[in-house]
Amino acid sequence: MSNVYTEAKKGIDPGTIESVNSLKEDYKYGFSTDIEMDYAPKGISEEIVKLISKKNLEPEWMLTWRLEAYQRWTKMFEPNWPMLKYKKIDYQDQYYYAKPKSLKERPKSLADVEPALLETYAKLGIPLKEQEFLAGVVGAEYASADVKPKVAVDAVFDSVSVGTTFKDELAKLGIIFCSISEAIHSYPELVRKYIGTVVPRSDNYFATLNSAVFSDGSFVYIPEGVKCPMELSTYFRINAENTGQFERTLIIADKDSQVSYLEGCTAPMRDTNQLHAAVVELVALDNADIKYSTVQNWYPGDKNGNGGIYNFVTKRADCRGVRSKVMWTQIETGSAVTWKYPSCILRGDYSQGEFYSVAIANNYQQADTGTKMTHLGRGTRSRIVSKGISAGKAQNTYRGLVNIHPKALDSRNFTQCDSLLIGNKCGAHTVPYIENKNSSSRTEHEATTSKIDDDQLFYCLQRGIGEEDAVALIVNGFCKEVLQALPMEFALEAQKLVAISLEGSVG
Amino acid sequence: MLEIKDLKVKISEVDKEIIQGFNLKINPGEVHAIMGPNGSGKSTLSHAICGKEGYEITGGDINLEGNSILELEAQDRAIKGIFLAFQYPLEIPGVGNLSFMRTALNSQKKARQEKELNPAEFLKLVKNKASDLSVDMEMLKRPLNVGFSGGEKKRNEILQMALLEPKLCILDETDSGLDVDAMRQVSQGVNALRSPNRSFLIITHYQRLLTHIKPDYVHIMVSGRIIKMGGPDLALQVEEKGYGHLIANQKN
Amino acid sequence: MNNLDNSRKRSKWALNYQKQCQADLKKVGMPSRNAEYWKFTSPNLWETTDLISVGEKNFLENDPQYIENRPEYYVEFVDGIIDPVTLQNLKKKLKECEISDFEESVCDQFHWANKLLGKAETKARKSYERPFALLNGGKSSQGIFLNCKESPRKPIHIFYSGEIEDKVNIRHLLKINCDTELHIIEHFSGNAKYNVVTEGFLDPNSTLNHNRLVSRFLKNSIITHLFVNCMESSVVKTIGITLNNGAVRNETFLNLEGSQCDVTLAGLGLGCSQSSICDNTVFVAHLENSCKSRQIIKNVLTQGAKAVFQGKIYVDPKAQKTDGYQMSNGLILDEKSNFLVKPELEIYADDVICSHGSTSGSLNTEHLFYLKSRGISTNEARKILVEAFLEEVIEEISDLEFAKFVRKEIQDTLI
Repeated sequence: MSNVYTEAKKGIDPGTIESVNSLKEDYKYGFSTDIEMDYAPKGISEEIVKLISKKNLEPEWMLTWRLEAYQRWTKMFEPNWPMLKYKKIDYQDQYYYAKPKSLKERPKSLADVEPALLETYAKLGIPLKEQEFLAGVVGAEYASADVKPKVAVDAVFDSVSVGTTFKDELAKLGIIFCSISEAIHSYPELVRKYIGTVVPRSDNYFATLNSAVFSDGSFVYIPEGVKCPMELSTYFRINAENTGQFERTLIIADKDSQVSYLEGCTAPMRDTNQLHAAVVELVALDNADIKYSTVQNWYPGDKNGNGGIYNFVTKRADCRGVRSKVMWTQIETGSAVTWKYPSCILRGDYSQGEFYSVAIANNYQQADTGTKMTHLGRGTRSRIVSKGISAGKAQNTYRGLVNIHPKALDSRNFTQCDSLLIGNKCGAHTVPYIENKNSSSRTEHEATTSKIDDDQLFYCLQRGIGEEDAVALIVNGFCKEVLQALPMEFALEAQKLVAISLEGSVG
Repeated sequence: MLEIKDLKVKISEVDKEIIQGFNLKINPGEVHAIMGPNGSGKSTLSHAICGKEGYEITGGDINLEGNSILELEAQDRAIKGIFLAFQYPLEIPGVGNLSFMRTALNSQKKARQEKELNPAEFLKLVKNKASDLSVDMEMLKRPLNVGFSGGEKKRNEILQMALLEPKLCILDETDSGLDVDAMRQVSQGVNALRSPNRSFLIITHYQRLLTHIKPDYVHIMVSGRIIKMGGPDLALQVEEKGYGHLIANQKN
Repeated sequence: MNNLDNSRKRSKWALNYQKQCQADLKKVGMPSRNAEYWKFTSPNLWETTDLISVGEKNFLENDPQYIENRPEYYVEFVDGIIDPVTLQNLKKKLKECEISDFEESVCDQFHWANKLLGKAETKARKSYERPFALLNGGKSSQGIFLNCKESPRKPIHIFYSGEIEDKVNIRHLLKINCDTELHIIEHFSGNAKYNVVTEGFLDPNSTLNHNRLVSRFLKNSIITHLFVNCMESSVVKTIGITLNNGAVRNETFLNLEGSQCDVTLAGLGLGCSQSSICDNTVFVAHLENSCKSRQIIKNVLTQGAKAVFQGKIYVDPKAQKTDGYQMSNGLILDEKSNFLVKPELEIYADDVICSHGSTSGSLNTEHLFYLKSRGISTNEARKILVEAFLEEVIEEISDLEFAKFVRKEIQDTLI
């Protein structure tokens, strides 16, 4: 047992690691690594969909569900309305199962890893060994954890850490927290009841693709009246490399329950998979309260716009119950292309939806992100706070929809969306759609676009703060309202991330 | 003039009973002050008397000159002679101050079948009253309360009171946000309106306004009820010892 | 008045333009409901394919009383055809401008407009396609071309009147020379389905003051286009007042090609019936530095009326020091009305101040209570607040007589 590894995943009990080792032979679901899987051919077809389902030992209904989605997908077209320009994606040139990285393709040591990436790691305070691990250096994981190749390690580690360390505590409360592949086996009736009911298989091109080929993801069920005693997912830091590509998450908060979920990839992965299309579905029943926070820091590509992740995510919450509440918070600093609109369907009377977002685009990054608030129930409330920062040659778009249905009487929306431009080669765009269809409801929308205030900057400089730090300081101030919405432990990291993302944008 | 009997008021939005069994009787020409800590229901009382929507009367009655006004809408209560000087006078862009006052005065005159004033007559009247309160023409021409300082807003309220010549004047925290000079000006304006036929209900947190406008009776309101009644010296007692002292005594 | 005869006489420049429009329209096609800028309003409301065919008109039959109430400078389009008497009168009175009607202009090979026709439209099409303007370009044979050489003393009024309920295409062209100011006031009260395109070319330091009133009596659908190209330090102020029961779509494109331009667009809509649609679709392109633009939109909606605002501020990388502002407010007075807005910003320069705001909702209950507590009746209080809500736009009207007229029209509509 290596101390380095344990250290790197601070917060994880050493006992957990031991459990990983002891369980690795028997662990049936999720990513039971077999070597063939790593070599599944490129491209998408019915065969691939069947293979994915088979590898996950899925029941028949799940396979049928996937195949129907696949059939539909073949008849759909990629959306062309976002303000995004990227090379046409060849869907037959993608891997849909397992990792494309054979050991041979990986960097041999840190010396082979792109320096910019390492700098970022260092700034985030990630120990050297973990840096190797994250960068996918050959042998790093053997040296550190003394377990099988990391594909397995991550997944098992992930599930088991939850399953052992916190299993008792969560189980006592009746909370289910596992991978979605495990849930399909162990809680098929729950999965079947809710999957695809918030984001239907026909929803959009990327969500339909995900429905056909989703690799794994998380499943959470909070029973009636239970307040989840811990933030779920601090333990998910690593799993993203494998399941991230077509991740599928389903969270159900039953009546009067409460949960806070963190989806974090605070350490940027070096990942050659360009295409990521995740789906997240949240269901909130009467009086339930779900907080979903994301810090997305996928590889944004290099300074010249080469490489980087295409991130097409469909996230939606269904506030089904009376007085249910969902809060989305996102810090989007990574990916070359981001296409993401975490939304709320406010179906239950007096339900509430909130969306807090910081999107930072630097160099050649492009972000088209925002939210949809659909008010259907009476007395529903929504609040949108979006902060977009563009630097370098990046394009950053806020796109939002507020739709107040004729029957959603006495509803309210407040939207504040601010853009900050750093440098004169970038763009900031705002595309809000606001539809108010009854007189007892109120909408309020405010948006501003400006550059960093010269006086503020001067004030900082005059006090001896370097320009880059001053910009980071001011930008953090600009984002404060959103950063404050994050759970404590994330807020600090997010602040650092803001500063790192803007490096090189000044001068 | 005004008689409130066992009044119970609920604020619909929060579904909470703020006033629970409130009694008060004001005779013509009397000045009553209601004092109380924050949240005691003072402003709720003033809104309920004036018929603001969202204030549900769940029990009791409010009589003006012997007749219940509970069924009347806000404007009809105003026509009957109830005037509320708002704690926070509303800013309404696009509505001229002068034209607002003329519309109000003529609406009331019309309802009472009195002769309405034409613009010239009205201007003459308003100029007379305005000079007493040092409200200048410039202020009258601006949109209603928009960009007015705290003092200007309160003076504008008193000017409306002087114009509309109500029977019952309710002053809701009129002293809040006023400096010493403005307080004196406003008080003078109010005192000038005192007459044997006009009653006043002064709602305030502090005693200081009452040194300028001397009340006949002082009531202490806590948790939606009057817990103590007395003369002007009761206000001084509050100033000296605070509300806590009175509340404690009450419990004993 | 046979159209075929007229088109035979057209000069090459005009014919070329007409053919280009027809060809482009074929390529582009009429908009569908799915088109981005037609999401909120159905283009079918303006589906105009035919040009009206009216016979000879006896314009002298116009009621003299009616004419007496007309302002000093005016032309009148009766059922979509220009009244020649009004045109002759205007030409006689207005020495400051060179004026000709559409057919006169396009038949003149050396007409001053030969390099301008369609140029502002082409620029507008770069933002998004304008099929209805193309349709107009292919069909229109009516309109006035006005070359403003000195500032007229008074506004020039354009009346659109008449009884027939047919489709009408009208095309105006305005050239405003350096240091001059032109004030145009359009009145729509006729029954036709109008498709009007106005192109404006502003030389440096010139001003276009434009007002449009769509009468409350109007029941048919109207689509107007105002495409203005602004050279440096020019000023545009365009104010649309829409009080009708039909559907009105105003497409405005302001191309700020010179620096230090100052443009204001205001739109007021009062919709009081289910068939009432007021659609303001605006694109302001800041292409040079230090320009200022303002958009103010106010809509009052009752009886199931609908208002649409699609407004975009575009800021080119070159347009540093841009000051862009946009505010849209909807006052919804009943459960059936809709306020649909899309206030967009597309910004590629960093040293800018751009903001937009949008609100919708019913009357402020605190305001209502304040008024009622002073003895004003509920109805009167509502009227006062609605008028106050709209006042911000009316204040923008510089011609006091016209402003007074608009206030009166609004009061009459509100009763």
